Amino acid sequence: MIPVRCFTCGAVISKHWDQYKERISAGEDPKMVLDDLGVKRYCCRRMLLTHKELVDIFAPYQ
Amino acid sequence: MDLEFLELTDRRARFIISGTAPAFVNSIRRSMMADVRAMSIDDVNFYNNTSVLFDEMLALRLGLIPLTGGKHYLSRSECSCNGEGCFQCQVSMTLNVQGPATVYSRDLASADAEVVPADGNIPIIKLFEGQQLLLEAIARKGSAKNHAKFQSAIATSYKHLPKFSVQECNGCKECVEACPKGIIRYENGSVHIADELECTLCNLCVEACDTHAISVIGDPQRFVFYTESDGSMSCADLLTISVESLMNRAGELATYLEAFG
Repeated sequence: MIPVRCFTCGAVISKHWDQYKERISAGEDPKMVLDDLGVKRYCCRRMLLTHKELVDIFAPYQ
Repeated sequence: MDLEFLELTDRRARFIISGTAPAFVNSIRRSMMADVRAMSIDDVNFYNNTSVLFDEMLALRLGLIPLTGGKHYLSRSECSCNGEGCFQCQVSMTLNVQGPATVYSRDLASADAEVVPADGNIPIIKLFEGQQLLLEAIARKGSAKNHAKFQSAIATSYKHLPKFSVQECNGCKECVEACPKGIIRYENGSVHIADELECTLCNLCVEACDTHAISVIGDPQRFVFYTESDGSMSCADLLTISVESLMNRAGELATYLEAFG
């Protein structure tokens, strides 16, 4: 799951995750999406950019 | 001292503060981060958790969700219930979601309509078929001195505004080229800064100038202050509460000093 807040500055970034994921999978440029969502600082941007969702992979091994 | 607001919304504030000293501006910054208290989920009782995350991890995620309101709540230590927990110092929230579904912060049902997650669309955990999450979360008042989850002010910072001076400019425009922010303009035979808020005091213009005509220093009396709120309170509240706390402490110090004569 996406961390609730940015590790560095503490801004709540997880609230953007659903929209970010949806727009990325629709083929939009991450840079434009992040600018659009108002995620300005690079500490917050890397949180979304580098996140790998693992819940679906773990799910069968419960 | 003078304040000029460039931006003031619930979630973001940027202002110029002038006629003061760095120590004072920094004390506002520190007070904003450490003295402003907010509500946050502090204890979680799990009744059923068959999700892929451990109870502890879920509790940590829940704690980081900013909660609005709760100004009149007391912290556990100052409450008359002596920390046992009562309506004056804690709010109970329940959450019950059956999979398949993603649990969001908006699924938390709070006993106090004022104390609710600031953002409803924070994903907590994705539940699959047959999984359930049933818990009771206790929100309490706290300060960032104890845990960062109670900190409402985010990316609180200030910087000096530049003091830019030019003597005998020869019009080579090297500094215009050198400025990474592109804010130096050449007009009427001399250069000046078009947007001083953008200046980072990097001094590249000073180095680029062959005739040593430019000098840039941080103005010791003028600052641009920036802060964001996590949504638990407005930026105006953040600022007023922090300044009040600062005033109270300064008052306390004055009485101590008087006692010593």
